[in-house]
Order: sequence, then structure tokens, then C-alpha cells
Amino acid sequence: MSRNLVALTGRLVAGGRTAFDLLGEVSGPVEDGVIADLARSTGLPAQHVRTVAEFYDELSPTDGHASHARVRVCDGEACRVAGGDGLADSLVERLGGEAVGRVTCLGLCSRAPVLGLDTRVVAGEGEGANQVVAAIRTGRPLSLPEPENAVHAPAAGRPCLLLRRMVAAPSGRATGFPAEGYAALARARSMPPEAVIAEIVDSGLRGRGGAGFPTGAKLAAVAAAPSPDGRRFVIANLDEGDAGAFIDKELAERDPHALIEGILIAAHACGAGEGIIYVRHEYPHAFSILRHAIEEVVARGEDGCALRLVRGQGAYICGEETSLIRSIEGLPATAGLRPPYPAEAGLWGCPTAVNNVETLCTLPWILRHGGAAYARIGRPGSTGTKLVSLNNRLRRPGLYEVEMGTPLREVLFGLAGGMIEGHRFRAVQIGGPLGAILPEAALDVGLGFESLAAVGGTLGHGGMVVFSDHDDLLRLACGLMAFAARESCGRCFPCRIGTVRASELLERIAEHGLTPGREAVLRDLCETLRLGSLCGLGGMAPTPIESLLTHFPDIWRRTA
Amino acid sequence: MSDQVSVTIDGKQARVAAGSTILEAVRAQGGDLPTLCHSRHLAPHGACRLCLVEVEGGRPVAGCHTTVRDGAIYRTTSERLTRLRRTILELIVSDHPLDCLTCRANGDCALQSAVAAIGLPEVRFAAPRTHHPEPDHSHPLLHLDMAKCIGCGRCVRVCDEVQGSFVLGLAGRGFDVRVIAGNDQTLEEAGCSGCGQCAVECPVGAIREAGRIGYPQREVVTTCAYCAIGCSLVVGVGDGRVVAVRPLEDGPANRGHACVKGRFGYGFVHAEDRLRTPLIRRPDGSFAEASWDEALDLVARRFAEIRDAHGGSSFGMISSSRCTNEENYLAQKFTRVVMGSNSVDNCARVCHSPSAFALGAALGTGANTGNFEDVEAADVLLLVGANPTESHPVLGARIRQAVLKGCRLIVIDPRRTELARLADIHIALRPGSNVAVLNAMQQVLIAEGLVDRAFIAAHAENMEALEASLVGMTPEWAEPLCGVDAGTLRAAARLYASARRGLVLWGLGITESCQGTVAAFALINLAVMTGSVGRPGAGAGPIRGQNNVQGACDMGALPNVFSDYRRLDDPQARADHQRIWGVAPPTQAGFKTPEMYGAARAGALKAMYILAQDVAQSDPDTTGVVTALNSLEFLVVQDLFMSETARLAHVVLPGSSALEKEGTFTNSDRRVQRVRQAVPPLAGLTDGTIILEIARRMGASLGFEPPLDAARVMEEIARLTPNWRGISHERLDREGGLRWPCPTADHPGTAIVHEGGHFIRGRARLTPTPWRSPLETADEDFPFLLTTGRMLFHYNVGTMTRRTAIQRLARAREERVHVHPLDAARLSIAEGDRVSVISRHGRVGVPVTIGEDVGPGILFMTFHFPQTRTNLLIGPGADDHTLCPEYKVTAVRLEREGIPEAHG
Repeated sequence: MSRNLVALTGRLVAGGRTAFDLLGEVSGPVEDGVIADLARSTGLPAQHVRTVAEFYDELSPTDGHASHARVRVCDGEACRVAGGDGLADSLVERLGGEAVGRVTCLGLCSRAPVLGLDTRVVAGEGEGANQVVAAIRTGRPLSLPEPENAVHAPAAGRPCLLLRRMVAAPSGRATGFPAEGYAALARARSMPPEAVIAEIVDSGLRGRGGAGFPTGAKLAAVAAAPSPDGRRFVIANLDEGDAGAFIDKELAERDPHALIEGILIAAHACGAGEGIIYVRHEYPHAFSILRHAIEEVVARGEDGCALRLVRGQGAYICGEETSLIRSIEGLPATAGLRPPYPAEAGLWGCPTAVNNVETLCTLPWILRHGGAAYARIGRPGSTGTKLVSLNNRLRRPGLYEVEMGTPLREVLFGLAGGMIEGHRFRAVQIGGPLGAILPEAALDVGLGFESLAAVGGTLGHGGMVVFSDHDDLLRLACGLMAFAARESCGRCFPCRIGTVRASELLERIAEHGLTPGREAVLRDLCETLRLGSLCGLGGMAPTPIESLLTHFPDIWRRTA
Repeated sequence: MSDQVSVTIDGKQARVAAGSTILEAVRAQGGDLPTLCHSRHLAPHGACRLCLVEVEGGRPVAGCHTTVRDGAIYRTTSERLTRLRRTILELIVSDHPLDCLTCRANGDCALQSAVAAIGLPEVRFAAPRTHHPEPDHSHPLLHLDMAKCIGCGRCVRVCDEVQGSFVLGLAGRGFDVRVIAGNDQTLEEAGCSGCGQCAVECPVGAIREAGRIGYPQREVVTTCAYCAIGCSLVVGVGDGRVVAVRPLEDGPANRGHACVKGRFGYGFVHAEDRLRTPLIRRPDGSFAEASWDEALDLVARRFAEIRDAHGGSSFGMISSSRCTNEENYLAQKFTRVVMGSNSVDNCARVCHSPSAFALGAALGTGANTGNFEDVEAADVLLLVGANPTESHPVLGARIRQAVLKGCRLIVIDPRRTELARLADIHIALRPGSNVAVLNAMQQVLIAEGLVDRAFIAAHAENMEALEASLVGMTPEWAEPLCGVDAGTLRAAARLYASARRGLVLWGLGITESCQGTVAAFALINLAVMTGSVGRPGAGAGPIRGQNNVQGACDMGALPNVFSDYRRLDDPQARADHQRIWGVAPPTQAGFKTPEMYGAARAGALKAMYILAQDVAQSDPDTTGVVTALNSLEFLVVQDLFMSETARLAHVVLPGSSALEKEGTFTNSDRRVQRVRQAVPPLAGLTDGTIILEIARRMGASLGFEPPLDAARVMEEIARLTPNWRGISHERLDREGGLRWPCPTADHPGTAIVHEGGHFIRGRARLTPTPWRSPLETADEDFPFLLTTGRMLFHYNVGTMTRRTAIQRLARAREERVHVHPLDAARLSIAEGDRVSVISRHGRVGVPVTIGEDVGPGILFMTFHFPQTRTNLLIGPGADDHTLCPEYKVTAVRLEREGIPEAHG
């Protein structure tokens, strides 16, 4: 489902646009009439227009989760433990339920709790909430500056690959066309594509989006795969939906040219004629900064490959590569079957490299310094550096670049200074809402793909949310499974129904305790989700639950 | 072999095709995996996950979409798999009603079967959230009970991947995903075509055929009696009645698909007003019921008297595509042997006689050069004067799929049909200007050097004459004649010529015109000039309108040929027939149908026998037809119902439907397929038996004693029909359909005629196609051009479909004249207003529907509704070569009929 609708759209709608694009251009909420009008004017099946609209929170004509409310309180884990739920309740009390919605997540986890007002982000404590109330009631504009995540320069002598330009800039933002130009791209273009790929292979770079697939091998596969019409694509996945992660956001906002240069290097390496950046809806600043940066590149004639921005419309699943491709193709972004992998048959059926933003931002450094130099950083199998984002349960939250292999304890207690006043470390969830939740005993493990897997964890995308003795981990588990249920695309049965049943069961357990019977059902559900689901969303959804069962037996006994 | 891999399945080594899925491999080894979302008619979906298999050294994978890996070791059962499958079933059942015993799908439910097979001890979820949408029984043919939906998406996918209507969708996300029609509308509002394939695919009771409950007592495989695609259907019978119809999974023509008519159009068989006894006209004009003996004796006596008094030429027979090949064969044999007349014709006269004539003259045989599979092989399809998504829905769906998979499409049609909207180029020509358009296209091919000179030199003749005849017929010349800009015509010619495998298909929009044969020649010329014929995907042919119109012609129910199109004056054919028939066939050429009417009006034709055709409604110049029939001394009409034609008869004999008899039909790609009796003939005798009875009572023999044994008739057909010599009921029953030519008992049949440019007539003849204006042109008094055609939900004059559940669909209830919005605005006509449509020949009253499927100045009507009788408008114009009537272009005007009817 459905190559036919893609082909039909191509025949009926000019300019390669899709129902997803057309709906995105609608100003204001998508009403039934909008769907009927769009269907009539384009000839597209009304069913198709409606299913696309209903799939995305921002396009949905009826959904109550995220769209249509001007005020949206972030319900990512960092914000929830920092008081986001109470903030939402108080705003509902002051403004009424209609005006206040929730969103996951705004990517300001170091300033939690935060809320959005239209496209602005506001720190929710004290004055922020008051200003938002006033803005809604009287239309008075916000006077508070937008909150920002802190970006920490690595200590002298520690590798600084990705943050280099932003920490060097007085504003912390390396905006404007870089003085050094696209030197790495120039070097890449002076080399045959195979040599560029070889350099990347030598670097040992693995994808930073979570799966850890070797980047060089992916680009080589795209270059080698036959294309039905000769086209190949590079897609930068800036659908950073993991609550607790603001890595790609900061990269895109603070050094957009590193990303674009990375895309162009990848495009040269694999023979792609178009690079697409898929930006999640919750990152409006990243979108406009990238748009401006692309204009700069095009103006300088550096592009050499078409560059396009696509705005997401609010669906976590779009971070999954097959879903992301279906979204760009204008379909409801349900997970697709693999194989074929996007590298063989991706966007429009053509070989496509879908890469994480951080991965692409790494390519310029590798091209400048050589793959071997990169491979010397970090550990075998997990080379280079990794960006990690930390929430404000820690004293010095924000974005860090750390060498692979650095023990977690050093990251959390060394770099970030440990827990804030009055809080004791309880757990850390690494890699987003589907990542494992690890206890203090696991903190001596070094950052890396295999090392974290060995303790039942995942590096994931590198977002870390730390919880303290004030935080209710069982409630947290309920919220995480509810999130998975809400964001399930609904294609495969285990995830579509299983996440809901698991969520219901967890609520019941939180209320009435974990009986042996409930535990058996919970474990069956977790197993079925893990082994039965079509994609990573359902497959990973039980990970936090299973890790809590393993590492935190006490939380389950509490009310039994 | 390199295209095979070695795998181990449940401990047994097997070699299976590389690239096959694990599910396919397991099934190939005789095993199976449980599935709910999988269908072999659809692409793998991987949703239900019941087909998980264990892979040695890895995680379980879904068998339906994971391809086999060489050396892999798979297990289809394990303790873990059972646990996973049970949990998945438990999840499904947790949001599914447990009313199995009163569910319409009881015993026909894949979920029920899976639970029974895998076992489900309990559902352990307390107070789970569930969905309880109300059942929707608004559609007269399909009932929705979405509380039972399991979200597998098979209905949505079949609506997309097979039917291509895109009416159904899966809306929402996650747990609340639900099947919707259109913009969350009812099926009818959403434009559902009613093919019912969603009900076939639905593994549970969420989408079912309305009314169907319980198993049929028995099932009979037969061939559909509507259009000429020749879909294989499984007819369910209970208590002596047809209770359900579904497509045969492996039907060679339909591959498990069917349309609304084939699936739901069977109710007429048991209609209250079916004729159940013969009727004899009393002197006062009323009809008296009669016994079969009375009626048949009377018919036999009168036919004999008239023959003896006036000679054979005083008798005419109109046979029918509704009848089997065997019956058509007997009808022409009766006419020739018993009555001594060659005046036998069939309904092809008013549809594809020009196609058959032109193909026969140009290539050597009057049938499609290729087959329906060509649609999938072609890279450019030129579709002319045909609207297959409504008239031939199964083929239409296949064309739509081919186009969405990349086949380029050129549509030549005055109407903006569904396929025209999808086309790369739509030539929305003025009705009646086919030949102008096609001549311009031919001219472009020649002028721009786009013809295949080598092919022409090797395989064709008369190119010089054709080239000379086309001089000056440029797109610019055609533009004012057809109303389409020259650039579009040129682009269409170039696109067609660019094909590696170009396919030309045409419909009645070509033939039902005074230049029908010329236009067919032009289309054949295009194919021959470009060498696009005689290869898979490359060919030319008509999409036949009726189930067995090909067979009626093949069987010699024509005034000028025997079966196999052997000429009456062919000495060998005459000798063969005399040897087997025992009498010399008459020599005097027979009348074509319109000539029969003329002869009747002139008093030369005294008696007619009309089988299963309502000519007083279907034929043009209705007044003339009625006068002709009223002039006859004796008219016998054999039909299912008291038709307009039957009202004029002296004796009305109750006919039998295709569901009531044995025999064969020949579809549009020459495939001869079995027709089997599902229920006994309502009035006791089948059409074939009636013919044999009349002959017997006339003291003549047709070589067979009643009742009809169709298999024996086929043996005689095979002896007299060289291209059918290898066809027998026994082979058809064993092998399914056979496409003629099939000259020997071990011949597999012929998918593509003229293969490799080896034309049956030797060289293909390129035929000049001079242009002349249509007889009907618009003027001040009659400013519109009316064109007619079919709509999806009805068939011909609606005799059958109007007596089925299909009639209850809102869009199927009444005739409407289609008017372009600009014309409607100019005439101040609103949707639903009643207007008079007035031609130079007649007038009818009809409500208006406004839409852009017709261009300004053009109107469209169907001819399905006896209360409208559209054919009253049609003039006497006809094709020069074949007398096929000019249904497709009539100058008319519109007049408003008083004030609009109140709505509701």
C-alpha cells in the first residue's frame, strides 16, 4: 500500500506534489470540507486525502492530542518529571481545556518544563506560564526570550568534531555561510565517489539514529543498487521525535551548513541527485534556519544537487525510515516491509540513503581529516564521538560531545555535575522513550553500541533522561507505553492492539499492583511486541518495561 | 539450478525458487502457516504476524513477506511460536465480538479457523477498550459490520491493488485505525463500484454480501453471461435457487475478480415476471397461456407452411449472444437446413460487425489478435471509443492497474471517462469524427517516418495506396473536423509510435457509426504500420460487448458465412456441410438484420424467429422495427420476459438463462469456456432443446434428438469448424478455457494470432480510410450531439440488471442525460430537472445530470431504461459495409419540461 496511490497522484497532481504536501499548505485546521474540496479539485480519492490527514496530528481533522490547541505543554519525560503535568493542569484551569494541548516533545529538555505557544517555545516555570495566559487572553505578545539548550564545549584536549563551529562562535550559533566554505565537500568532489565511500568506511562511522548501521556500507549499497529511472536520493532524517533528545535540533539550528555539506558529500558518494531534509513539525526554527541556509548554498552555487525541505506533520513513526519515505511520498506513514531496504528501493522506488542528522554532520570532518583519523577516536566498533543530550535533573544539562567509550558515570556525574540539589540519582533512560531504563549499577559501562547492549541498554539516538528519587518510575512506564500506543501506526497487529493492552495493563498494575497473573500477561505482551512487531516502534516499546522489571523490582511491589 | 535455494523446513530439506517467500516455500512443500492479512491476490502486507516462523540463529520472521535465504533452517511451529500466535489472537479477539454462532461469517471466518487451529484458552484482558461502530446496511449489495473488523486492510488493498477504485481507506492511526469509504461516507456516496471484492477478501464478518447467510447447498462453476470478458464464476445454489455468486479464484479470464453485474446480477433468474409457459396470441391481440406441445406444434406448423408457400427466403432468424455456441450453431443450422434460408444474423450486427469485417478483411480472421493479458505487457495502450471501467469492469480494472504501473495511455473518446482522466493523452473528439482523428494519426506516422518499413515490407501490402490516400490529412486538417488541437493529435501519434509493445483496443464508439468499418480499418492500419501486432502486448482488437457475441459469429449465425467465417460459396465448406448435414446448404445470400426489417416491411419476409433479443428496444429506428415485425405473418420470440419485441409476437416461447443450461461461450479474446447449468430451466425447456423440438415437429432432423446434449453438438461444431477442431466439452472440463484457433486435440489454443507477422491471410492488407462527415451533424435546430453508451450498473436494455438487487443502487435507478455545466447554465437547467431530448427521429423525457464527463455541446445517455427508450432518438444511419447502426452520434436539442420535480 500503495504504489498505486503514488502513481495516481503523479498522474493527477502537477509538480510532483502529494496529498500530504497539499494538506500541509492548508491554512488553519483541516476540516471535512477541506478534504472534500481537495479531493474534488485534484481528482484524488477522498479516502486517500482523509487517511493522509487523519494520520498526522497536525493535519488531523478531529484529533485532540496535539493539534488545534494554541498552547501545547510538552509531555516528554524530561518535562513530565520537571512538572509538566502540573503545568498543563494549571493552564487548563486558567484557560480551559480547549486552548491547552500536549506535545511530545519540544526538544528543550534542559529547560524543562516547556510549552509551546503557536511556533514560540516558552519556559514554563513562573513568568512563562503567566505570559502565555496573558497572550491568549489579551493577545499581548511574549516578552520572554526563547529558552535555549546549553551547548557545552568539550574540555581542552578532548575531541571536538561536531560542536567545533558552534562553540567557537560567540553566539553559540555557527550561522551564516562558513568562512572555510565547503572545504570537505570540495575535497570529496575531487575524489571519485568510491574513494569517498572508502574514506567513510575506514572511519568506522555507524549511524547515529539508533540502528548503528555502518554509514559507508549504506552509501555503497545505494551507489550499487540499480535505479528504475536513474534517480537516487539522500534523506536527512530530522524527525527527532525521541523525547529527551535535542541533538539534531541543535545541530540543525546552530550549524546548518555542516548538515548540508554532509548531505552533499553523501550525495556525491552515492550518486544522488536530490537531498531532502525531513524536519519534524515541532522544530519550526530548525526549518526556517535550514531554509535560509539552503538559499545561501544555492546562491553560492555550492549545491550541485537539488536540496529540499519537507516539513513533518506530527507523527513519531516518521522517524522510522520506511515511514519517513512514505510520508514524503504523500502516503499515511505506516511502517513498510523490509526488505527491500531503502538503500535498494526507497523514495519513489529509487535507491535512497536515509541518514540521521548527526551522522551526516560527521561526514565533513571525516572528509577533512580522513577516515583513519576518525577511527582513532572512540573505541573499535564504536568509533568517533557521540553527542548526548541531558535533561535538567542534572546540574549542568544540555548538549555534550563525548568520545565513544566514555563511561556513563563520567558523563552524568563528571561532565554534567551530578544531580541537582535535593535529588538522588534513580535511573537513566538512554535513547528515547523506547530505550532501556538503567540503574546506577549500570553507569560504569562506556558509551557505545555493543557496550550498552551488553547491559540490556541501547545507545539509541543519544538522548538521555535522568530520573531521581522524586520520580515515579511506574507512572513513567505507564506514560511511555501510552506514548507508544498513541504513536503506533496501526499496521501490524501486535503493536496496534498490544501497545494499548499493555498500556491498560500497566495502568491497572500502577493502581492495583503486580499480581503473578498480571505479570504473566505483561511478559507475554512484551514478548509479542518485541518479536512480533513489524518495525522498531512496537519492537522497542517493551524495552523500558522489561528493563524496569529487571532492574527495579521494588517499584512493582509497592502496591501489590 | 541457480534460481533455486536450499532450505530446511521443519527438519526436511527442500529446494525452492529463489526469491519466494517463506510462506510460499512452506506451501510448496505441502505445509501451511496461519495468516489473516495475507491474500494471494494482494501484495504481502506483514500485518497480522501470525505467520511468524523460527529461523535458526535468529529472531522469528514473518513468513508472508520474508524471502527464503539459502541454507536457512526454518521451523513453522515451536512453543514460542504458539505463545506468540496465541497472544496475537488474544489481542484480536479482545476487540472483536464473540457472537460467532449468529455471525453471518460463521464457518467462513479465517479468525474463527485460526483460533480453532491454534487454540486460545482465554482472553486475559480486563475491561479492554474496544470499538463498536454501528452496522451499516445502507448499501443494497454489501453490508458492513465494522465492529468485526480486524484491521487487516485486505478490503482496502483489493480496492486499490485489484479493483483500483480507491474507495476504501484505512483512516486514523494505531488502535483506532478504521476502514472508511471516501470521505467517511457510505459506500454509495463514496462511489463504490460494487464489485464486492472487499467482501471476498474480508477474512471475518466485517464486509459481507447483503443477505447471504449459510453455505450454498452446492456450487457450480460457469461463465458470466454479461459482458465479453468471460469471467469464471462459482454459482451457489440452495433450494433450487441461485443464492450467491463469487468469482472463481483461478478463473483464466478474471483471476478471481468480478464486477457488480457478474457478482450481484443474478436475481433476474428468479424474477416474478419470468415467462413460465408458452403464450399464443389470440385473435383479439391478447395472449393465452399454452402448453409446450400446443405452442411448439403451432410454431412448427406455421414455419413449415410459410416455408412451403413462400420458400426459404421468407424466413429470418435473429440469434443471440445470450445463447451458447451450441445454440447459435443450432439456430443457424435450423435456418439453413430446416428453413432453407441463409437469413440468420445475431446482435453483433448492431455492435461489432464492423470490427469483425475489418479484421477479417485486413488480417484474415475477425477476432482480437491478442488477449487480455496484453494489457499488462503493453507499454502504450491506445483505447478508442470504449469505457471499460463501466462496460467491461474487470478489464477496466486491469487497464487501470497497468496504467498505474507505468503503461502509457491514450484515450480517444468524446467523454471524459475514468480512464480518460487517468490518460497521458485524452483526445476528446467530437462524436462522429473518429476517422478524421485516426487519419491524422496515420498521416503523422507516415510523415514523420514513425512507421516500421521493414515490417511493412515483409508482412503487409497496399502501403502505397494507403499513403496516397492520406496525403493532406494532417492534424491541422483534422482539427476543425474533430475539435481537438493538432498538437494533441500529433503527440498521440508519436506516443503510440514510441511503443515497443503498442496495444490498440476499441469499443462500440468506433463501430456504431456510419464509418464504423473504415475506423476499424484505420486502427488496424496503425497497428500494422508500426509492426505492433502479433507479439505479447502488441496487438489490435475490439472489446466485445456481450458475453457470447464472438461465439455467435464464430458459429455462423451470420447471413454470409458458416461457422469459422467460411464463406457460403467456398466449395470445400459447402461440401463439408453437405457431408455432415446431409443436405446442401442454401445458396442464396441471406439478409442482415436491418435488411430483414426492410424485407418484412416490403412483404418479402413472412416469418421470423427471434432468440433472446429485444430488438424493438435495442435496435435503432424503433418505429421502423416495430412496423417490420407487425408486418410479419408469423413471429416467434423466445425470451426470458415479456419484452417489447415479445409483445408483437404470435407465439412467445419462454427462454432460459445461461444459469439454466449447458454449453459454451466464447469471450472477447477467443476463449471458449464452459457454461454449466446451476438451476433447471424455469419453464422446463432450454433454448437449444426448443430449437430441436421445433425441427423435430417439422419432421426434420438437426442431427440431434431433444433434449439438447450440448457436448454432442460441440463434437459436430468441431468437425465443421477447422479452428475449433481441437475443442470439446471433455477438454474444456479438464483444462478450462481454450482459445481458438485450436486445430487439434493436443493443441493448447492460441493466445496470439498472427504471431511474428504471419498473418492468417498471408500479408496484412493496409486499407485506405477515406473520411466523410457523419450523417448526423449539429445545426441550429439540433445544436447538441448526443452519444450513447453503458453505465456500470446496467447491461444493454437492462432486462436482466433491472430485475436484480443492483437496481436498488441510487445511481442505477433511472436514466439521466449528461450535460456540461456551461450548457446547463446557458439553458438554465439544474441537476435533476426534467428535459425533453429531441432528435430528428424522436423525443424522450429524462432528468438531467450535470458534469464535465461530457464536453460543451455534447450529451450522453445510456440505453438501459425501457421507460426512457433512448433508441427512439437514433436515426437510420448505418455503417456502409455492415449496416451497423449509428448509435453513437445523433443531433438533438434540449427543452425544459415545465418546472422541476420536487425533490424527495
